[in-house]
Amino acid sequence: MAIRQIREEVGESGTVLLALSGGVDSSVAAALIYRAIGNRLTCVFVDHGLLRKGESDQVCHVFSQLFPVRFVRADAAGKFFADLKGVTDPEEKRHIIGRDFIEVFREEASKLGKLDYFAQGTIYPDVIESGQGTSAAVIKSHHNVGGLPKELGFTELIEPLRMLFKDEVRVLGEALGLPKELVWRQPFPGPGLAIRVIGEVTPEKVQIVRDSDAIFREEIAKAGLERQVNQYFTVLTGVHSVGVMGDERTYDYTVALRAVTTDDFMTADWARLPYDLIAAVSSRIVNEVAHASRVVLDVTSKPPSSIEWE
Amino acid sequence: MEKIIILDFGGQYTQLIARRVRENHVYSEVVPWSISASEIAARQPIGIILSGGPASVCDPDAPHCNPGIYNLGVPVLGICYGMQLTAQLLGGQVEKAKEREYGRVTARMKETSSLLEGMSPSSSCWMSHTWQVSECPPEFHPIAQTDNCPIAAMANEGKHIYGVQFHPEVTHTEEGKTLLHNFLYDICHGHPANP
Repeated sequence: MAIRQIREEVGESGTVLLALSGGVDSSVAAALIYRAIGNRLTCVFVDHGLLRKGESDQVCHVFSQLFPVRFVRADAAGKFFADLKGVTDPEEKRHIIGRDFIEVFREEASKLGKLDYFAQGTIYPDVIESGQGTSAAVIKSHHNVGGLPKELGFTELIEPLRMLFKDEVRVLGEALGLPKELVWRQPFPGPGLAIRVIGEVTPEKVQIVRDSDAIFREEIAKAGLERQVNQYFTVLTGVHSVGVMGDERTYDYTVALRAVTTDDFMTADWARLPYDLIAAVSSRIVNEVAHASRVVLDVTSKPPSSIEWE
Repeated sequence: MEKIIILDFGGQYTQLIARRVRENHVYSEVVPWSISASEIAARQPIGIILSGGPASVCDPDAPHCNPGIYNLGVPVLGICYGMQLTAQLLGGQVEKAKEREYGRVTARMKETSSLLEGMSPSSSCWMSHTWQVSECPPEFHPIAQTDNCPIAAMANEGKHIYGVQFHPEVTHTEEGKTLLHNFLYDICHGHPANP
């Protein structure tokens, strides 16, 4: 039904622009619109260099092979890291990343020539929370935060997921043929791994948190706990500690493991992971990840702590 | 498409109600509490659910839905604030509870009601309230109670209007699913949509 509505609105020749973040919502929106209008959909993927291991390549693969939209990848990691240099305050990090994202997107969009519609992956909770829980229409004039579509000269928005809850978006994504591991991704913050590196963000530190995070995810999957534990990741703490590796003194980073169980992410409890699993993760991280020499476990609930560290 | 309209009074579980209804394969939409009865009628819902909310119905500024919604011939289920508002708008009484209930409470089902069909005589429910219905409106009768809340649920079976003080939408209410299923399928006569 949504596919037909998109076709009717966009018409025989209309074109659509969508910003891909690599997350579930924008990916499902893109796949759905592709089914409706094919490569009259242009997707711009701003790669800020702060995604998890393998995600950036997966987005490129999905939208060049499975859903061959007109695909533009902006590799902007250099700009993001340059602007984050010396910044330690979490709010400032978020602000810079949000601002850079818009700048890079705008620059790419301006090279594309005139496109007719702007699409985004707004979902039902966003609609309800903004007090707009009124219309079932797929197409709405825009209320977008930040005013980006307006600034780019768009007057109409396409929001094909605006009546769906997250779980329903995931089911739709699977039905459309998106890879399971993309569709069932755990929540991931917009600023990405930058807020999982405490203190200044550098490419080296992001590499440590990315590699350790991948190990943690692999081991959780191996233990078959992916659905029982609702969110899990590693944090690169700002703490250095003394260690000994092969008779040599080291003074390297401490990596924290964070894993929680929750129904709704409003409250959460720390996950009681099996000791053997924790042991395997810890051993692999200090052995396989350069400059990680100690692993600790976060055992606080939310409240009082938040799930993320920054 | 058959749908349930949920009036949002700002309750923290409003989205959960909408999700639970959809999990039962009936489509649902959340609308602001201020919607008019004619706007609701135009959407042709098979049932209406009034959400909980932080206000007290006794407060002069409290959000009041249009009383016309009770005359649309469409079943109504009021939850928490929604129940208290229903009682007040239809001529019952609401007052501050002597002891507020917060958390897990045992509710005893007093009378048979199509809303409570298939539920145990005594069932664990999730409560979160300071105010409660102290007197049912005319044509209503109490169908459940707790130690501190003599009217934990009420019904007007003839008009298909119901109220529950507890929250059937949260998982801590053990038989909440049964109650919602009863409302959607036995009272509103829904048909499961294609999953």
